[in-house]
Amino acid sequence: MKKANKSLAFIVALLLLCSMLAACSGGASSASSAASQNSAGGGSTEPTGAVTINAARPIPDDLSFPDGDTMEENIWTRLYESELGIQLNYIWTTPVAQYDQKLNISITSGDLPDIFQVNATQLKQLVDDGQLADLTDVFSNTATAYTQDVMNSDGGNALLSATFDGKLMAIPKMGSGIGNSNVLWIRTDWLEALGMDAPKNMEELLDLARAFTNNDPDGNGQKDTYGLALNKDLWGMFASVEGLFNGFGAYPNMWVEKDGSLESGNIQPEMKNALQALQNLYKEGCIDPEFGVKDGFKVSEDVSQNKLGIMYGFFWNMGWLTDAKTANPDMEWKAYSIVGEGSDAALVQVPFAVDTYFVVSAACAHPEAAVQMLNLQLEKTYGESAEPDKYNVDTTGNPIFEYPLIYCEPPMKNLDAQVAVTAALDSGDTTALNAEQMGYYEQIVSYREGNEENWAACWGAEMMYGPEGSLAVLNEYMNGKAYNNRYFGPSTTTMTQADAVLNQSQLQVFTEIIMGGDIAKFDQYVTDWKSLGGDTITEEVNQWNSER
Amino acid sequence: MKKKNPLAAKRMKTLPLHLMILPGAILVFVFSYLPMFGLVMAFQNFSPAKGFFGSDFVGLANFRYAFKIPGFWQIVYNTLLISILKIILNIVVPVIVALLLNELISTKFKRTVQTVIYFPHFLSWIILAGLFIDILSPSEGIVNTIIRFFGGNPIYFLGDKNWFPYSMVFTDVWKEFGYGTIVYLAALTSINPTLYEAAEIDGAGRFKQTLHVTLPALAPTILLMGMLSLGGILNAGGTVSASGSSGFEQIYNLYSPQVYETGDILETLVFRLGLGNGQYSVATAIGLIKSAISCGLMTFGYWLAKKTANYEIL
Amino acid sequence: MNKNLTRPRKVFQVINVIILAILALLCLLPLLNLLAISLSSSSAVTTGQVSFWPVDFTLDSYKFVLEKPEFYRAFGISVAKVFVGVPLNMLMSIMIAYPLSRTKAEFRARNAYMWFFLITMVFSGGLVPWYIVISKLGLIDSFWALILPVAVPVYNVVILTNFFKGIPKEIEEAALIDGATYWQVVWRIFVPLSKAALASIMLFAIVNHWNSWFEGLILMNRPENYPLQSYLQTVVVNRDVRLMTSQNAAFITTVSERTSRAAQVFTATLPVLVVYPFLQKYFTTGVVLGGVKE
Repeated sequence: MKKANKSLAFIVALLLLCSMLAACSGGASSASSAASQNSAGGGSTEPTGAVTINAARPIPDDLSFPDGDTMEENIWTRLYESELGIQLNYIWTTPVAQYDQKLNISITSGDLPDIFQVNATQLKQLVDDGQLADLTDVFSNTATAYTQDVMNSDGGNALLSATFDGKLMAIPKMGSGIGNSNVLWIRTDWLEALGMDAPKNMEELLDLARAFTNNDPDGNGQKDTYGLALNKDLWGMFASVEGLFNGFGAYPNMWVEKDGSLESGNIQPEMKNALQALQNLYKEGCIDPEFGVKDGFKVSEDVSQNKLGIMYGFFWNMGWLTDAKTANPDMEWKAYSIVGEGSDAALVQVPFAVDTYFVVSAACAHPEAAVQMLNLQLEKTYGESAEPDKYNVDTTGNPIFEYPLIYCEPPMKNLDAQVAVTAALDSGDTTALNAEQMGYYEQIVSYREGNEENWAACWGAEMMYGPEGSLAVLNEYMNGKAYNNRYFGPSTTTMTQADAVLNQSQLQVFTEIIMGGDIAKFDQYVTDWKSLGGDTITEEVNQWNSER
Repeated sequence: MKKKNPLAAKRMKTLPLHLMILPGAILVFVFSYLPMFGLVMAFQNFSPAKGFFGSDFVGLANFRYAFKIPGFWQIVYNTLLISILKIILNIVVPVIVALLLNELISTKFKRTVQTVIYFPHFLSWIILAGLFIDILSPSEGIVNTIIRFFGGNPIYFLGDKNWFPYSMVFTDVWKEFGYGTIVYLAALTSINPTLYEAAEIDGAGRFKQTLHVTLPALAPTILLMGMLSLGGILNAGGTVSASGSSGFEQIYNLYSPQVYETGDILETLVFRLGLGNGQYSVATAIGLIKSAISCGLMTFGYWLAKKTANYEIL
Repeated sequence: MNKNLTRPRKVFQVINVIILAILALLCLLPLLNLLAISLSSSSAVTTGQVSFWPVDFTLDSYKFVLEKPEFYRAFGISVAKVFVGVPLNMLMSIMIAYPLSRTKAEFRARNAYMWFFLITMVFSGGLVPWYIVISKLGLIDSFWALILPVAVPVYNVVILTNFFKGIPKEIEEAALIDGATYWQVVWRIFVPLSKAALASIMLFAIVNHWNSWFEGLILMNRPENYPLQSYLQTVVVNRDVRLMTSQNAAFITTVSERTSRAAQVFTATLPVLVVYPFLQKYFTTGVVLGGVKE
């Protein structure tokens, strides 16, 4: 009896295991067939308008939700459901840092989300692989007049960059090129403490960085400050250094025009001067020796802790410092135009406005959902019926605009807002302001009156949209102080293959040089760049240029 | 009565054994063998939409591209340098510590030391990355605070490309020497005490006994451990699993672009190319080269182990 | 050992004890430093006052960590992983090791099986095909994805096989003659006689399950489903720390990224610290690679 029990137990265990495996594989196939039935049924006969969209997205570093809300259930998902009948279902989400990895691996299994975002390289790969839905008709039929307006407001270049063989394969994440150019942020309370003036050229700026490092600008008797902030990727987000390179006439990650043909800015000799300047600063202790492991968000924490006095960056970078301002009300920043060498004026680099694309899987039964969501988002944040403090940025400065799956903005809206808000502040006449602009206006007034409620967020508005705000600097760039990226076509074939290696070797070599490496490594980098596909890319880019 | 067929009886007897092994064999087949068919993509221009059966074959193009990657040979060199140093030090240090421990009179103290030095072996590289990033930081870490206290200049162990490979070797030895020590201690206790008695009668002192009795007795174990680690050489130390090796886990979690030149190893390259950039085929090709060489070295190691130490895994 | 030591022997003993004590301290102090940081206030840590003893003692970093739902959810997933994964590991190891410990005469297919398992220690199909298999099985984002692919710990199987080989044949043969099945022999004879070996491979199994992070990061579809080490990877290595959100403003003065990181890392080592002493007397059995033949 006992014997029988034991062997029975063994067999049961074995069977359980085998059936478990069988169940798993069976489960998968039945699940997927159910899904395909679902989507097939939804496409042909579904009359109710209830549509489920499976999406994927990165979770931005500064995202937070009001109590009880989540990525799946928030003001925007509720709006999608009530206005469009779209039930948004995130099949996966990751921290920003892991997004590309997770996307690349999940692409291999062939199970794509219905709607998700990609970069230019991934877009080209997916298009070549035939995995994306053609949005040409859907876009022209579904997009509202306002959406069409916004998406074409740059003369159609953004849409062109998502067009392959005449077919629109993605919705470009419309934004502003000039809005992504650098301003020079300087801590003015430190300037005052040291009795110095804002720098007028590169030489003065470098001196200021030294003074901020060595002369104890925070007056705590300790040498615990660095002049220049720098993030580990060198470019983008927070505390990048494109603006410093521009000051030397160098244009990283851009295509420049030389003698009538297009060349990569990365390999021009001017880059060397900028790298040398950074290296000198690093050697003199003006750059955090650990910058190589700190991403933008981490650097912003150092800024919050009063460790940094100068940073290049985006006009909105102060938005990451509102908590720091609350903790330390004496901290003052001001945005300046970037500076050039000697008496030369610097041209700021204006990257191509689009680096992210929203795509729809070829298997998705409702490609129009993507355009509907875009319509709704543009309308609710920037259109006639916009309610910006509900759907864009709430009164505490919380970025609600990061909730929607698809987000675009009118390219000039921030620059226009600064002009309008400044004019209204001068005249006191607010009739010309739209809803979003009115919000900024009220915040600035509230800040100036010293109201305690959301004081730091209102300070942020003054820093950006005020008469001396960072957007005023961008508006000034518009008067012939900008240098546009000369290439704005889709990713070329060789770019898709070689960009990974090229970008990595750029980051590696540049970081090494900054940290004291031999400047001659730059020449080696140029040689490598050319032989590793760079020359071919240059040909492709010039081919594009001549056909344009 | 008819006599039973002996063969049938034998089959009857081994059937339960087959059944017992079957669930594990199925699991291993599914999760280890099925993925091996995917190696075919090293010879394809793999396209997820077309899958393994529909993707175009491109011969050795992926391999040729891999060799053209800037610094590919530097990466091979890094891999070899880091792993060879790890193999050597992970033998030398534990042997010395085991010898010292063996000389201790107090068993309580011996036990305590053993327990303490073995502990880091059980911590993940995630935990240890958290630990080392903190204590080795040039500005805040305790190690550099001590260096500064003695008047030295702070060293950026994880961010200076000249230091990085050695930091990897040192932190790995820190984690693993306790494990090795236990292995050698076990071997030490099995040495026949009459050998020592004989040496003592011959007038050999403690040091000479160590030199002439202990070390030769340890030699097979030392050789064995060394040879077994040969297989892991291209993983920059550690054993292989689906998710990579401990060499990968260590370096992936501690490196940054500024030390790629000296710290990048084959597995981190494979990871960045494959997952970071979607270059699946090239990544698989490099992984395949690596696996093939590892397999060769491991076979060689076992062959040597069998020849010299009479070790058999079967 | 001889109690009457010569003078040089005594000197050597003293020096030896000192050297080994330093070595043990080298292993201990980094952890102590981390513990001290996690128990100190952020200002004391920033000004570099903390070495191996907490300064401005506070439990705020731990309170902060425990208020993070991400942390204890991840902790719970890891605990569940250990409680489900380790018994399965042990069952698989025993069920595979016993047939493999038979001689070739007893079990003809033994060598074939042995190679079948050993090859997987060296060769793998690489990450992408591995992912595709798991995704075709429908395991992506499932708890079982953290359990089944690692259900058979081949290294442990080898250790146990070698240990089983050392168990005297006579006991087993007697039982088989009495009509016992293999299954009974395994559970009534081999398992009770192998407690030491089983304890040591259990330690390995627990630690492997507790420590694995990569699978979680790749196979889970949302950060809420990460096990603890995957979650820590994003915190510690990618430094995805969002400390200064208004919700936890209460902690701003006493908690910094560094103290909270230390607290999280230390909390994650705790379970290993707890299990470790219970299993430590079996260490030696596990590491002797079983098969070093004399």
